[in-house]
Amino acid sequence: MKHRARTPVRNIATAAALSQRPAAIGAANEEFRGALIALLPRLRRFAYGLTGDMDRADDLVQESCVRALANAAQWQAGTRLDSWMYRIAQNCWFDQMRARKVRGEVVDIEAQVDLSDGDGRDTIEHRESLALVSAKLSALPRDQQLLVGLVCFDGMSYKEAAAALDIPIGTVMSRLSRARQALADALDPRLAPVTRAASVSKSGDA
Amino acid sequence: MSQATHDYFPDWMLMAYADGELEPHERDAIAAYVANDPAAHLRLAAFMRSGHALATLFDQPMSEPVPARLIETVRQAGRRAPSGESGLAARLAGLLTPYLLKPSPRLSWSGLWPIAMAVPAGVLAVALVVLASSHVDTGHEPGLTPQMRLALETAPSRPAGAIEALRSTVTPVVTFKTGPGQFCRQYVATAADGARVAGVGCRDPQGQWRIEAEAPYTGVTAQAAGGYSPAAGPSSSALDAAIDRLITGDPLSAGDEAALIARSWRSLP
Repeated sequence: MKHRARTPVRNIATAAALSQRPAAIGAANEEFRGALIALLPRLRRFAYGLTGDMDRADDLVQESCVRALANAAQWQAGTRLDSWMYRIAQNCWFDQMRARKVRGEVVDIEAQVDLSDGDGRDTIEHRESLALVSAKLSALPRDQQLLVGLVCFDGMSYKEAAAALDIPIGTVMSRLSRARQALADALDPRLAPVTRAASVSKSGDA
Repeated sequence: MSQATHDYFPDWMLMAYADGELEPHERDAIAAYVANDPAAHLRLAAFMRSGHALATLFDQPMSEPVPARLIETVRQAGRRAPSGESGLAARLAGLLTPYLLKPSPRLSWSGLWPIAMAVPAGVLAVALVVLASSHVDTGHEPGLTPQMRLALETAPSRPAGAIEALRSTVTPVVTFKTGPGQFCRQYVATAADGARVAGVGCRDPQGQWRIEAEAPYTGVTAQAAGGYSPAAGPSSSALDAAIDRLITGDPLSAGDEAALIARSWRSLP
């Protein structure tokens, strides 16, 4: 007898929410999907920066795209897709990190920092350095991460980044300089003492 | 000495200089400043270095093709399959979508996955399509390890989505009863190298677990919009067929399953 009137719905809340999903989800239009596909290389790069690992980056991009398409109705055509998607990727990444902490996996930035203790070579080309920078970037305030993504990764001018995030250009510069100082240690340990001394007042996020 | 040695330029201004963002007259002032101040020169060097490094360090995605699974996700996620479309994704979407929105008494096994309840149908369909083409070994259990036996005997079922998180070696995902009154469990097993299979094991009256069907499961990672991270339910049409052959009635609820495990799989009279 294969007849089953009921199935083991273990997550009632989710199932209920599912039945109320707005029609807009299914109607996420082709233009949105096309723009999202065009953005994928840059989105992967941003995710790579956050995760420090290409496989994790791709998983993050995939989750972000699914989440974005489920919320496509919230995105307004004509506004920037890149910063919107970067924010979704950040949310997904923070959720993942929180979940890992809950599960007791090691999320220890200092442990990754240890990887960089080496022979003093130019470590930029090395995977350890990438992991180190990524760990630091991942620990930055999200507003600073966004600016690193838009300006440093994507090559936007400060003015373009200010427009993309709808913030004053002065805020772009103060946030970005704090981010860059935080990352400088990871980028070049030889400069670490100097940058630490030069960034006495970098707490908070304007 | 130059007036510049008495000026102090904040970090953001040195950064703007390093990034080529300053006006010509500002550039001149900074150049004079750092020329006379070794500490400022180091600060500037740090910004120049970070600018260059960050521009290149994570560039790998810009020089390689985007993985097909990501493009496919964007093309398909959240989309209901058009009628008449063939292929696993379309078939599953067709099966799951109406079910998810309005429970139906007639349903493929695919819809039984707890995860199907928690993932938008289109997501599930897309995720499932990533499953490797499955070959199914039926009837025998070359790979039944003590660990696997223990998991099937004692572990509670978990939503398939929890498997990615748990990285358990063997994780049951649902328990059901067969016509002759045996119990079977569907599971996902993870090998040391990360390879995964989905399978069905049944417990015979002597308490031995035996694998009825098994198929490769490629660790799909499509994620739901809800914030947790369910992988797609392990599934293949051949595996489904094996389960459909075995199953009677509904899969056990979590409570019934827990009670059954506590009684060492003895049914209540």
